Amino acid sequence: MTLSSNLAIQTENLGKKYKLKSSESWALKNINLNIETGSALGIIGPNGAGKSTLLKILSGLTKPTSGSYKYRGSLTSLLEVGTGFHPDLSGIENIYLSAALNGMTRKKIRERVDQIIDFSGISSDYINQPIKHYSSGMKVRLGFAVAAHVNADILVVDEVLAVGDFSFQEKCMRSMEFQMHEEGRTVLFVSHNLYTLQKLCPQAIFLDKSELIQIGNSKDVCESYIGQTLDRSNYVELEKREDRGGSGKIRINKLEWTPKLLQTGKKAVLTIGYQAKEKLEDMNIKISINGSDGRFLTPLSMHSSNFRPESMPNNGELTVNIENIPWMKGNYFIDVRVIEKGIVCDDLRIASKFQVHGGTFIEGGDEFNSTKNGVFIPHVWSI
Amino acid sequence: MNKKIHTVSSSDSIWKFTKEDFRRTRQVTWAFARRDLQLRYIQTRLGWFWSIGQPLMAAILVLVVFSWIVQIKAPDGFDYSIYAFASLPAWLMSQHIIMQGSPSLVHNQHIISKVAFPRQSLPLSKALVALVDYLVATILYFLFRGIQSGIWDFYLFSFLFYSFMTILASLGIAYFIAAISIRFRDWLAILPLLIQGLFLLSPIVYPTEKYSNALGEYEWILYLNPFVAISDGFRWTWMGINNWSELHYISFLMIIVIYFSGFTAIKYAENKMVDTL
Repeated sequence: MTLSSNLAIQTENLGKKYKLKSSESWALKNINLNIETGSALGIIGPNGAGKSTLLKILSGLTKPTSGSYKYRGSLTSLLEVGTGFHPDLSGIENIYLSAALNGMTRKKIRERVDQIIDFSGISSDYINQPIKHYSSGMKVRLGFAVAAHVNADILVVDEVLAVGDFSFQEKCMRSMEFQMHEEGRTVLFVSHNLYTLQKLCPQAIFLDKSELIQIGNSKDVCESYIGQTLDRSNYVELEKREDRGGSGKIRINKLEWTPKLLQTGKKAVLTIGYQAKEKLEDMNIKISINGSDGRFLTPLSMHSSNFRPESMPNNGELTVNIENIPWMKGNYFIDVRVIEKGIVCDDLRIASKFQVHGGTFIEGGDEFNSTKNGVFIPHVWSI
Repeated sequence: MNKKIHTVSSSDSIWKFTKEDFRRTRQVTWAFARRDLQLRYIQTRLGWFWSIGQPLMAAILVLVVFSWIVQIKAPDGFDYSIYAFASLPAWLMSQHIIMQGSPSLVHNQHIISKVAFPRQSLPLSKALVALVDYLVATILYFLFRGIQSGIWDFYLFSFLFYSFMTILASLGIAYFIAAISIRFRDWLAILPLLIQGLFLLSPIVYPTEKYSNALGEYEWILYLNPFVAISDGFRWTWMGINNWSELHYISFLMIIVIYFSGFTAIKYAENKMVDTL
C-alpha cells in the first residue's frame, strides 16, 4: 500500500482480456502509468485502442485481468452527462440523485445545491418541475452542473464535454481547470476533440492496438496521433488503390494536408501529386470535398479557379492554398477526378479522409457547434 | 497528504469489501430508495394510499378465498383472520422485494454501465422501500388484532428477529435472480410463477400441520421453504402458537443458505456485469 507522495494514480502491468465466442483478445495490455497529483492527463487513440477499457478499469466498472493500480483519495468517473436522471423527477430531486450516484455525500449536496442550480442557469420556476418538461439543452446543462460540482480527488472524464452548447462547455472547462489548480484535483480525460483535450490537458498518452504507444506533451502526442491515423488510412495506400475509374492515363498518388492538424479558420495547403506516362495538356483536376455522410460540400478545381497551364510535366505536384479553412469541425472525404482534353483519366472516390478540428472562422466568433458537417462563408452582421 | 490509498488488483477476491465500499453501498442504496419513494408519489394517482390499500385488499382476498370458499380452519379455535394475517405483512414485503429487486439490475443497466457502486445496492434499495410498506401493514395488523381480540401485547424481540429473517430470505432470492438474469433474462419471465408458487407452497394461509397430509415421511422436502420458519415465527410472535419441530431447522438453515448463495452470486457477477450487459 505504498504510493510515492507526488502520485495520484499508479498502474502496474494493467491489462484486460475479453473472451469472445471462440477466441480471446486483449483490449488492454501492460499499461504502466504514473500520474502526478494535480495534473490533467488526456487519453487519445483510434476507436478500439482500449481507451474506454482503461477508463472502465480505473473507474471500477470492470476488473482488470492482469496487473493492478493504486490511487490516492476519492475517485469519481463521469462517463455520461446526467447519470441516473429520471424524467419524472424534478430538477432538484435529480440533482440529489445524480450527485449521490457520483459519490457526493448528502451533506455536501445540500451545501452545493444552490451553486449547482445557479451554475445550470435553470430558473426557479423550472427547477421544481419534472425534467421531462425540460428542453434537451436544459437537461444537459443540469447534468453538467452536477458534474462540475462533484468533489473527488481524482476525476475520470469521458467525452462528456463534447455535447452541449459551446459557451456552456467553456464554463464547465473553466470550472474544471479552476478545481485542478486550486484544489489539486487530478483529471483523466478522454476525448476525440483534440482541440478541447489540448486546452485542458498539458500531458497526454496515446493508446493504439491495446498498448501504450506514447506519453508526453499533449501537443506532440496529438500530432503523432493525427499523423499516424492519416498515414494509415490515406497517403501510403493511395498509389496502390485499384478502385479507380477513368482511362488510367493519369494517376493521383498523393493528397496531403499541411499542417496535419486542420482547424477551422486556419491556413491550410493541400498538396496533390500525380503521375502520367507523357506530357499533359489542358488538364483539369476536380476535387470534391464531401461531408462524413457523403454529401457534397465544396468544389476545388483548377478550371473553376481559372488556373489553366498550357502544358504540364508528366510527374509533378500541385498545391491548393486555403487561407481560412471554411469547414466546420468534423470529418470530410475527398473525391478526385482528373480530366485531360475532355477525357476522364482518373476517378477516385474517397481518395482521402481528413478531420477538421474546431476553431473560429471569423475572428472572435464561436464554433457554431453542430454534429453535422458544414461550410462557413465570410459575412458581416449589422444592426 | 494523509488521504487514503486504494489498491485494485486483478487478484482481488470477490469478497473484498472495504470501508469505502460500505459507505458507497449505504449512499447509493439511500439514493435509489429515495428515488423510488418519490416516483411512487408522483406516478400513481393515489400515491401513499397504496401502502394501506394493498395489504387491506390482500387481506380481504385471503379471507374471501381461503376462509369463505375453501373453508380452511385455524387450529385450536383461533380466529382464522388473525391466524392467516399474522404472516401476511411479511409475505407482502417478501413479494415486493423479490418482484422489484430481481429485475432491478436489468432495469437500471444504463446506470450500471456508467457508474461503479456495489451492485447489491439496487435490490437493497427495493428492500428499504418494501420495509416502509411492511411497517404500515404491520401497524394495520396490530390494530386489527387488538380490536378483534383485545390483545395488545406481542413478542417484540421475536418480531424483529423474524422480520430480519424475512428480509434475508427475500433479499437472497432477489440477489440471485438479479445476478443471473443479467445473462439469462428468462429468469425474469418466470418470476410471477415463482412468486405464486412460493405463496401456495408456504404455510401462510393454512397451518403448517397440513404438510403431513401430502408427503408423509418425505414431509421435510416442504420444509426446504424458508417461509415455513418465517410464517410459524410470526404466529409465535403475535399469537403465541408454538408448533416448533426439528424440521423447522431445515427451514432456518435454508434462509442462511439462500442469502449467502444470492450474495455470492451478485458479488461474482459484479465484475463481469458491465462486460455482459
